[in-house]
Amino acid sequence: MNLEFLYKALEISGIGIATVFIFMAIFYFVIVGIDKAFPYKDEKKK
Amino acid sequence: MEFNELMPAIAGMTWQHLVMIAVGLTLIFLAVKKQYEPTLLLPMGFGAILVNFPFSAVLTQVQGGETIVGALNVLFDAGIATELFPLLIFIAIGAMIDFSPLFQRPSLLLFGAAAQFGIFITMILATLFGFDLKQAASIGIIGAADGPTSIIVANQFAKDLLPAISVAAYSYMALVPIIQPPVIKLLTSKKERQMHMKTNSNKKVSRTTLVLFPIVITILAGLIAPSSLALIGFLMFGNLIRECGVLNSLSQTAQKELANLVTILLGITIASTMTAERFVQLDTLMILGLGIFAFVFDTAGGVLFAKLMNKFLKPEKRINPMVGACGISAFPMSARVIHGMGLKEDPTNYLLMPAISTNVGGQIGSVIVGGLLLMLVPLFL
Repeated sequence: MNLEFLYKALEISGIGIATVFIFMAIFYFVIVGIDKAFPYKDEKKK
Repeated sequence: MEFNELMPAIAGMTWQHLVMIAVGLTLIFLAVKKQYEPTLLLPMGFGAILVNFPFSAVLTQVQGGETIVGALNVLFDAGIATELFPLLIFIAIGAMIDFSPLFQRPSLLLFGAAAQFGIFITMILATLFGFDLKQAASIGIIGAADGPTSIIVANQFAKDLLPAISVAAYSYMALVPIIQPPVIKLLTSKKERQMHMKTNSNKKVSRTTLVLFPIVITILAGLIAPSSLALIGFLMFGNLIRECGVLNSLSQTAQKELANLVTILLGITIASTMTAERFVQLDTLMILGLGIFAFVFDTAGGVLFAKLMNKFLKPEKRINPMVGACGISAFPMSARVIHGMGLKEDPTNYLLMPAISTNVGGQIGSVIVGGLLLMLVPLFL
């Protein structure tokens, strides 16, 4: 067992989990934003 | 003339070769009899048999000082070493995905992050078992339940482990109906499993929205994590072909002919690495064990995150914790499993729509984690 790898894996995991949540939060706002900007009923009116 | 010159394959056969032929037969059995991911397990199983005869002509051989290139080596160099096959599969997957369920309740996208928890836990555990950082990341990504992403990460980080990782990733994807239910039952009460969810299944999404979605996501991914762009970009390209409305023929081709052709080549090409020398090792057993661990903790991560979210949500907005388990990439299998479990607990509990939304989020999440690992691991070496 290599402790150096273990510590690095812990660091990568911390950063990785946080980043994937940030990504998803951004995508959430993208979805909400696009959906509000181009709602279905507007398209129907056209 | 001696026997080993007359019958070199029989003379050169070892018990390891026989084990691998048995592995190949098992994969074919699982594909045909149990219908576990037959499109991949069958080509892989047959390929495993092909490459485990000594002096097999499908692999490159040196005979009398002359190198005779094997067909499977050519395919491997062209399709896997360059990552072409998994990326083409991503175009096909993108063309198959309908992202509109995500717009019905976008917050379910967060489970696509929570259910990647097992990847990181498994990566940490793999370092405890003596794997280096790159190998550990490649083993952890099995938990993404996403074959092409697993292949791309393993191909860049741990080529030697590619056969075991591919077999584990595709086999466990097929075993989602067996792996997920006991984990979910362990972590939830009957009352939680019977929880109904309000859905907005009548909500319609405009075409403009669906066309813009893959474009915006690709631009954002390119700005934030360019290393993930090959994965996300090809997925979103496939989706744009589907949603643009003017390339229906290409969309159909991507979903059917492209997917089928590349799948045939992908399976049998991966098998070119399943040789006895590379596969019959203790590491393979450890990888298969760690792969299950990753799936279990992905499921647990999604369920526990749902329970945590419920602490902050109004009663009418609460999420059935089982739905959290769909944040993995195994689409639509995971959603179907959860829907079935919901109906079993309460015949009036229809969880299919939220489960599908979460499952779509899981597909995005797994690709992002793959890209993140490709970016982060080299920074720590």
